[in-house]
Amino acid sequence: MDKELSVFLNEQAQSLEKSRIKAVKLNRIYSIVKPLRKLLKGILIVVAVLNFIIPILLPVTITIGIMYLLTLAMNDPKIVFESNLKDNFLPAIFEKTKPNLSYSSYGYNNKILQESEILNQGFFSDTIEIEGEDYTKGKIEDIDVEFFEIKFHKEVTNYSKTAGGCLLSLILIPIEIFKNIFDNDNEPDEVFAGVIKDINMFYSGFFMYADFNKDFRGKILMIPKQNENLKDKVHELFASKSLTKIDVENQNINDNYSIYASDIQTGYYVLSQNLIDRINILSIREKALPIISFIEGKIYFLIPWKKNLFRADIFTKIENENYFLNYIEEINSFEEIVKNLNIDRRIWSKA
Amino acid sequence: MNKTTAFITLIILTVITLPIFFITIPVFISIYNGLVRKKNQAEYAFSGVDIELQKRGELIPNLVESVKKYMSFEQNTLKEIVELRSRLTQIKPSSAERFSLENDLTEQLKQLMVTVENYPDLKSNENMLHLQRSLNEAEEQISAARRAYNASVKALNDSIQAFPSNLFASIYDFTIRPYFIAEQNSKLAPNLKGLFN
Repeated sequence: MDKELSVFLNEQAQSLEKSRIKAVKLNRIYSIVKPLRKLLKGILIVVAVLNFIIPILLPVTITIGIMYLLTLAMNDPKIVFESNLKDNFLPAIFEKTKPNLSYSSYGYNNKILQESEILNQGFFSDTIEIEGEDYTKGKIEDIDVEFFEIKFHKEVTNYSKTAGGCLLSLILIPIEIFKNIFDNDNEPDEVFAGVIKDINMFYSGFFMYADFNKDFRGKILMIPKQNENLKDKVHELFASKSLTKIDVENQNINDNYSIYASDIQTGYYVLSQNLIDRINILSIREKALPIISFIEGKIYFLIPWKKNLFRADIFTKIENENYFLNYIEEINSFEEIVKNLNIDRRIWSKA
Repeated sequence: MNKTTAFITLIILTVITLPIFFITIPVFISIYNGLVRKKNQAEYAFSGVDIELQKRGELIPNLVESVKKYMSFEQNTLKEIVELRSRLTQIKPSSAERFSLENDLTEQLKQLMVTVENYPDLKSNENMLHLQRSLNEAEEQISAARRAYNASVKALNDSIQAFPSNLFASIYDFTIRPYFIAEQNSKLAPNLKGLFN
């Protein structure tokens, strides 16, 4: 590490350590607030239900409600500390170590995600929410690149909550009937909560976009068989065949992937044997099968992973600049993916 | 399987299955059409190889002109390249000899590109750089076209040999196609002897 960088990182380390100490103190308070919040939530639900039978409990309900809302005002200091690192320190570290890359803690490029056609797969059709973080954009060896962590969420029926809702409805129905006897309005009241759905994350991964090292027209899609579902198979049977299925020379890839190309020769031109072998090695090393698309001279790459880039722990003391070495390694790992896939090799094909 | 045996087997199958599975005729039609599609795909892929080889051939006169001013000591290599190209323009495109000559041309071009490294003025010449880029691109496209052809031929050969499509293949004279395979001399690395003296 050169001296200038070392001095800079040392300054950052001292500043971050002050922030960490503050977060540790707040965490002690939060360790009381968090269970209190849960307790108040439970009491609030019970009191709110009882309020239907004993309306006089309304002031109590309101008081507990306000207390509960006050506890919500405090955020988890661990999350706040990590956000502080990502918003205030990492952009400066990026600027010093990788001036060709810019970083922001949250966000993703929806345009590029749509262009990749990865979201068209049946596997992602239930997505209702997308969350992106650690959005990095810039150039690696003169190649336009973008990276971000991405999470896909979908609605999932919560059977236990739905059952709880049904039980609650059973309790409320006689109360409603009794209430309606003395109620003059003829409006029916809703007592059945219906099916309760939660928004759950079903896929978390790392997305990369880069300018590919060959010029080509058309598209090639490499979809892991585990990510193909019935919708895709039905679509393949009945939709007009704009894409042809191809096999490559690597049997492991053929076993794990369905590969489609708009033109067979273009498919083999893009998927050189060298590239196929590199994808195979990467998938073995990461123990995951990336979804890859090649469209009009660009590569879009999505690999499932549960890692959390640029994690921060409030209980790890920040003594000196070495604290940031892990983060610098993670930044370097972006370049490694580009080099591993040989995308930076542009001696002849693409100027 | 010979034609007569295939025909008799097919008649027996039809007689047995038709009363029970009324979809026999459409299935047979589908099998025959599948064979035809695969055969056409293989021919289409073959034409792709032909096109890429022609494109490469068109680069050669420009390459020779650029190189001969600088490489006065490599006249033999240049002469061989010009001769090979001349023979290729006269030979029938679908003949067996054609691909052997194309492979020889590939080897000569590879060797020439290695030799270019010994001529710094030529190496930095813009026209030469553009030609090298074009040739490299042509070679990549030829390789892709050959792989596409081999994949099409594999699909066709699988259908010709597997049951029950082999019955139709025998009756209608669909034949096994050969794959493109690298010739012995093309498996050798180019000679770099002069490069490190």
